Amino acid sequence: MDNEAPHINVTQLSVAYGDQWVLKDVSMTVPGGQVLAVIGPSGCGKSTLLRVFNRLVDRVAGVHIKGQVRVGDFEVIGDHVDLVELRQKVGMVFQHPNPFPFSVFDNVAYGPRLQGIKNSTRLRILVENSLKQASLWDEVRGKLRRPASSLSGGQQQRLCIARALAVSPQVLLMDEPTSALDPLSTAKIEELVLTLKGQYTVILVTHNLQQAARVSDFTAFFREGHLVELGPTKEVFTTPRQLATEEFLTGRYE
Amino acid sequence: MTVHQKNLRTERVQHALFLAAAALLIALGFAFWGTLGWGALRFFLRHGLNRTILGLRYHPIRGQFGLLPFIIGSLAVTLIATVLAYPLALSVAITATMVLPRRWLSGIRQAVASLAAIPSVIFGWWGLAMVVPLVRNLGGGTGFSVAAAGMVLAAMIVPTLSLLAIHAAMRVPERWVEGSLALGATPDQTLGRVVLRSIRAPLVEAGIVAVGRALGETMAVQMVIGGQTFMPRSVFAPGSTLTSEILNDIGLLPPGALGHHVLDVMALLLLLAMYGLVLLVERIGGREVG
Amino acid sequence: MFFLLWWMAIWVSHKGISERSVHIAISGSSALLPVIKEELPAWEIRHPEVRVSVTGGGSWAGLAAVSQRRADIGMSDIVPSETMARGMLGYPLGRLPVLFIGNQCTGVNKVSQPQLQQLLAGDIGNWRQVGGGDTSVIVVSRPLSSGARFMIERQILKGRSVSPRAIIQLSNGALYKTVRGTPGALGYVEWRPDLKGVVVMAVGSSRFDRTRGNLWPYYTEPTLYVRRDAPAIVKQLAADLSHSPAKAKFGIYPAQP
Repeated sequence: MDNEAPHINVTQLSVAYGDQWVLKDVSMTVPGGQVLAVIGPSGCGKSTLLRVFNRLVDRVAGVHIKGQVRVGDFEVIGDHVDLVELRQKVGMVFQHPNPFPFSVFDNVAYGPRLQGIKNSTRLRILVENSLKQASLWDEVRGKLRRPASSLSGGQQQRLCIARALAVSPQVLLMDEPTSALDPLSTAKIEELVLTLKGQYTVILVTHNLQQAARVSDFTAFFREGHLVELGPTKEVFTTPRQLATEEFLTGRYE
Repeated sequence: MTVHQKNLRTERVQHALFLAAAALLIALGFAFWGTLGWGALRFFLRHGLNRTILGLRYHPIRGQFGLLPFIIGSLAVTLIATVLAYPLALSVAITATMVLPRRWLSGIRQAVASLAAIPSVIFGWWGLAMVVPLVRNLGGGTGFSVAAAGMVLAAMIVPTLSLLAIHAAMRVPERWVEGSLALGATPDQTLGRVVLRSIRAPLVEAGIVAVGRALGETMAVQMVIGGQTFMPRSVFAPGSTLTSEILNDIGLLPPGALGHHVLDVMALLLLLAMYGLVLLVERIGGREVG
Repeated sequence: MFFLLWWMAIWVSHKGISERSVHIAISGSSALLPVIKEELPAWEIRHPEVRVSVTGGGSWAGLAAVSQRRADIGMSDIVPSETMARGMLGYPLGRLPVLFIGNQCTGVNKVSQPQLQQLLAGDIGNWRQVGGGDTSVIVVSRPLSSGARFMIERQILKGRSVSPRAIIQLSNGALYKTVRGTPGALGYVEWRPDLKGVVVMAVGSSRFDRTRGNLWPYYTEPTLYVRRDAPAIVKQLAADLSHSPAKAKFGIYPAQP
């Protein structure tokens, strides 16, 4: 596997929906193979940021993007970006588990099949490896033909992670992946994120500050479209440099 | 009397009314099946299956009651209509829900729904003016044909089918589409592998509803099919369907006339076909998505 | 709630009936519907105690309905069988000419009666055989229930059937439009003043002249039939309708020149 987890460089990124700017002049670097937690009050632009990285933001009518984003050497912003290649590099896990209404197997095999892999042995190995990576294999082995909807919410979310991993991405975007889950399932996903560290660059948007503290190496705090502060998680949580960050972390904000 | 008691009483009255209505409907249904079934049964006993359902010659005044040409006609017309209408309706639905801006959707739905309300005789006149000459140029002959009837019917069922397909497509959650795109699928791949695949059951259901509509349509078919009582030699030849022949002969064979029961048999065949379609819809509708 | 309204509607309509004590049902040939509908409103004003309902269904159905007492007046342009006619009184309206019309590209505007017979029966397959262009003959006919067809099979085909390969159209209007739009088509229509874009065939020495339409030898005799034992008011209505001045407007000529 040529899974050299890449750096992500963001330079003067601004994003507007119509004439409303939701991200304003954001510049930052995420070191490869690390987990970056993105925190901030609702509407601060963190979900938008995530959707810029895989250009899912394009689906919003009237969106404008200025600035530069690079995943490794890959130029993300521009009119002629190969979105298929980008999205194979940059996988995503959504806020609500969104398995397709197919079997467990077909969900995980969806991405590889898109890439033209038809060989059933190869598919089976890929699916098994991805499910193992997502710590779901032990729970679903022998039930691969069951509909994905028969799994519990937490299992479904791990299935979605397995589905994303099956495409062999280098970056994993996670948009509040545990906000719809119970504490036990949340803990499992957090454990999972820790095991993915190193192999993937992970950007985790979360509302759960403890979660950010537990799993991330770096934390970025956003407010009203501005990047207020980015630093090693320990520093941001113990000695924030900005007053706004401190207010947010201590609950005096929002 | 308290408001509560009043409400209770109103509820009881309403309940009784609904019960009466349901009973009436069921009784009517039984009466309908019974009348048709009784007439048809006596007819079968008298003439035998070979000279009715499997018979080829039809001339009710001369006592010939072969219905096979009409059965084949109904099947052929319905098949042509469905095969022509289905892809068209599917593209309408996909364009409306996936391609065009979301804010146009309700306008499109209203437009399509109003098309579905056009009375069938209008489609008949349109078929006479446009479709029959077209078929005449395509396939030779008079233009009055099984093919023309199929095409007119296709035009008739496209709005209904589109509407059902739009409703089905709207049931596909945005998060499946996003999930697919995020895995590197192109919009086309997303359409084929997620959207259409996930609504296969409602789409089949919509198809069956459309088949039912095509099978039961009468006036528009009668005006363009030619009304011949032979087995059609090709799709470009004239023929008849069960419905169009009922329409042709109902004036000749009023209730009580000799041979009227052949119409009962034809109606019963249609009723049975419809019943079969309903069962099919229920089986597919009951199946879980996935 | 809905059913409550429904019952109220029925109740009100029943009340309406009891005030107007007599109900007369007319049923049968749709060829006569326009005349009846034109005349009826004035008649109902003159007879406020009578309520009249009119339905189509065809000549045969009209005759059957009267003899089976399901209707009071039957509209028919078919002469009832003798057994059936015995219990009935007929109120003829006059003559409704039946014209033979051809598509404009047949190249023929005149046929002899034997030729017409062979054309309608399907024996002559090409207009060349009767002096026209090289075009296939396409017979367009009304269904077996039609009074015009009944007359033609008796009078011109002498008991034979119209060609089994004929295109069947249910209504006079659809038949007319079919002949107008189909190259080589030959059909027959009940006379209507707005015939355009088709060739009205002369048959033998007869040529249709709308100012003397009652000289044309091919016609049906639309008639209102009532049972002999019907109440006087029913006979009165049939008689009044049969003398309606609206007849001329719909192409019905008096029987005597």
